[in-house]
Amino acid sequence: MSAPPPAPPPAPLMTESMGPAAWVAPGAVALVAHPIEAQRAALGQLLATLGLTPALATGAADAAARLTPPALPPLGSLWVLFDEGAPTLALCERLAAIPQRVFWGVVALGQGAAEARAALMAAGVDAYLSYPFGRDDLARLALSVAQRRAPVSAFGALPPPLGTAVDKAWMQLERVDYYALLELPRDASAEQLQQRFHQRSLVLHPDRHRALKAPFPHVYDKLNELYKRLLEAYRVLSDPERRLMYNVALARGARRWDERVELELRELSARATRPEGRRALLEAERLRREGRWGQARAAVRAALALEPGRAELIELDGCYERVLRVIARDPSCAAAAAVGAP
Amino acid sequence: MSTPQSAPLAQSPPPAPVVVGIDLGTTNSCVAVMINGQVVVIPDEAGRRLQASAVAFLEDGTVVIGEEAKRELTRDPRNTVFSAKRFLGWPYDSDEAKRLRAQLPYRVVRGEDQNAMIEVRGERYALPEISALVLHRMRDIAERYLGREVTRAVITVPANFNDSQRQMTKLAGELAGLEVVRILNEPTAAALAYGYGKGLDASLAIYDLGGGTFDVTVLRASGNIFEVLSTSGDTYLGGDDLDNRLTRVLLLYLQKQHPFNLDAQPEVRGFVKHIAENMKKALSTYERVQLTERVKLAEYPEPVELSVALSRDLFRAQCADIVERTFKICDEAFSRLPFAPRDLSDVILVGGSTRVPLVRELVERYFGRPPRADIDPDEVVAVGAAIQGAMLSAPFSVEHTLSSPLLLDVTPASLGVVTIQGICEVLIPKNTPVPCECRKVFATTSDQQREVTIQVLQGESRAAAENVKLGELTLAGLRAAPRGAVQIEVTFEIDTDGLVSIRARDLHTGVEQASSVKVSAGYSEREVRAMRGQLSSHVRAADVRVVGGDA
Repeated sequence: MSAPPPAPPPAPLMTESMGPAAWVAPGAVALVAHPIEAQRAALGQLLATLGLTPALATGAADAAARLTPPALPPLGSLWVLFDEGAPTLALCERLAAIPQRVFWGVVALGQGAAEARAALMAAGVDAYLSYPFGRDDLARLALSVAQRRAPVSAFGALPPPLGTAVDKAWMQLERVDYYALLELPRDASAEQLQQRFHQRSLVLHPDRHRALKAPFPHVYDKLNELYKRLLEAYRVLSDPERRLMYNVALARGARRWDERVELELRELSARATRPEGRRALLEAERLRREGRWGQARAAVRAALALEPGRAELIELDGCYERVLRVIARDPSCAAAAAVGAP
Repeated sequence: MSTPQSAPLAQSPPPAPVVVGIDLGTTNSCVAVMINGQVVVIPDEAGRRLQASAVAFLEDGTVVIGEEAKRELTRDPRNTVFSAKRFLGWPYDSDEAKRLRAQLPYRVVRGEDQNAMIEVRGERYALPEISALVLHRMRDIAERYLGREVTRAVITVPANFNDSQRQMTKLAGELAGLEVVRILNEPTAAALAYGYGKGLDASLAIYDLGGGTFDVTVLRASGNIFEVLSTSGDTYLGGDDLDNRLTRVLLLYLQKQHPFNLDAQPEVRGFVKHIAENMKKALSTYERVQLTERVKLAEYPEPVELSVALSRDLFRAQCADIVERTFKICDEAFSRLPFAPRDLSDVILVGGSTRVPLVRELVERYFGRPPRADIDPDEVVAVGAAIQGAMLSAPFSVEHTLSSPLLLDVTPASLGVVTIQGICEVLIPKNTPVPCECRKVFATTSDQQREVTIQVLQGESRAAAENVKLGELTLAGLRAAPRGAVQIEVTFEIDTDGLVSIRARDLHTGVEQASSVKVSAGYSEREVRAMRGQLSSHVRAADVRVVGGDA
């Protein structure tokens, strides 16, 4: 960090409460992929002070080669740190192909550009640390990653089927949409939704796991985190209008609810004044995003039929009509048109 | 996985510590516990199931708590503290605190940071200390009955209590030697008590009209799950308003019969209010009440006679509009729901003011069905707290999850932060199910800025100044950078206890800056230590009295 506090205490860190062994398995190997030799060596030294055995790779290709099955280190003993600047895509693919639990943590290092960071996180990287950083920053991050990574089933705190189920849900948490999280079809009814949410709540609600709070805080935190996401899904899907908006967001490739999307879609649906009309416009937007322009226009016309004279709707219908005419001439435009504004 | 703590939980099955449920009321308190699936309201050594929430400080230094303290209310009102809960969370100079100071006979003084303190016999007590004494008495009653130590409790609060009032209640519990496992809303507790073990599939409303506040809570009971759907309330609406209205009527009568100058003798109002309260209560039993009372007036050498006859019809004509105001709040609660008041399966009444026949009658008209009359409004809240306590103390097992009730609660008030020009930006709106969180990115507003201060508020007003300030979080040690370059993502979380915590993370480095800042109850650590010291001596004095005094 460029602005360290006056005198950072060198040794204690947070390892006082959770000794190094809790997050660094004995003999754990930290594989570092960095193109610049001096940086590589410096990182290696830093890792050694944290109790990790450094293995230095010259870049992503070299690192990926070391991650092929026969050379794979034993379960739960590996850290991978790599520089965002190296050609990382191959490494990410390699990492994704390896069973998750082999790793204690995958930390990307880099310049802190938002896009690079987002791409890496989406590729399954646990955390991102930008230059410059100190030993404390790395240790702190490593601890939180280790806690996230450690499978709850390994602690014996939860009965086996539940522990495994939580681990599975946890691993996919950032990769699934609300429907998949609740294991419901997209057309699930309000009753099905409530029933499923209640079923999950009975088992996963934090109040059920209060006893874990003191002895296994990280297991409790994970359950809490998981339940918060379930609740988030339930809240969005149980509100009919939000659910429609979420479906639009899904068609655009999002997985979680986002207030900016809500604002934008409210503006769009405000072209109609009646609730049925607003719902029809949201449906139209989703269908359009899925490339189903014909059905989308039908929805817009349905909204227009509710209040025939409304200029905003006539204008929108005109846009759809023009796009449909273009698509009729050249069907390959449909996909491209789905991305921009109508 | 080689972890030091990987010992399975099952190896050390500690005897499940009992969790009692305590209704810490404004006027009365009650304690209950669940034993073998049955809830027991715990009686004291004299068999009483309710205790006055009063603490009397006697001349010889002994402290008397509960029903015994009630006797001192008339004998030595200046040194007997009651209704202290009504001050909780109100700054000394707030209008509410001013109004209460004028009504209550004991001395209230200004403490540190605007906190109101109670001064009795030359000593000052913080409000949580008074509550702690009452809780200590309840704990004592439970321990005596159960024959074992009681260290954990679920304590109930009004649904409209804000975070700082909840924190103070929690602090009171800790001062009384109790781990507060959960702060539970009173109406929700009532619903749990009503629905537990019935296997309902129904929507319920809990209409809670107390002395000074009104709350309505709508929830859905399906099997073991109790899902709070909506809650609304008014902290300035209650039985007191009925009393004040009647007082006005009686004063008019008195003026007509014996003209006098009210402004010159304000104590007459207090006296007449007492009469009004009694008449209101009598009207709950009788159709018509006739009363003759002697009143001392400065204008007359002898006490004059006030003679009034009051019927339920007249009471209705005078007070119906006050009760009608509660239905506006009910409308507000239902505006967020996909069904109407008439679609409910049951209406449950809580709070002393729901004994008033006019209230019952209008509630029946509004909801289209008679309210449940088979629930004891004095005990139902403690019973619900005991059920929740049992649920929270049971170790996890799959069988248990299917048979034990689960409460899905919501936040009672909106949580926000102060933005430019004193506007409150809501981050977590009221009625959001808990646990929930909201993330917000803050950026530095000037070059080389090394600190960002975030003020956290609770309340429904857009003007920051009109909301309750919960706390302030300062993120220090930021990187030196041009303005806007440092971005801090702050996560506001409300957990299942309704408590607010805040985490901050530097978006650029991914490093957590402040791990977890708990909002405090508004007391410094030094103040809390002082409370502990002061209490430990009084609690001993109280013990002696309770053990030896009445035996």
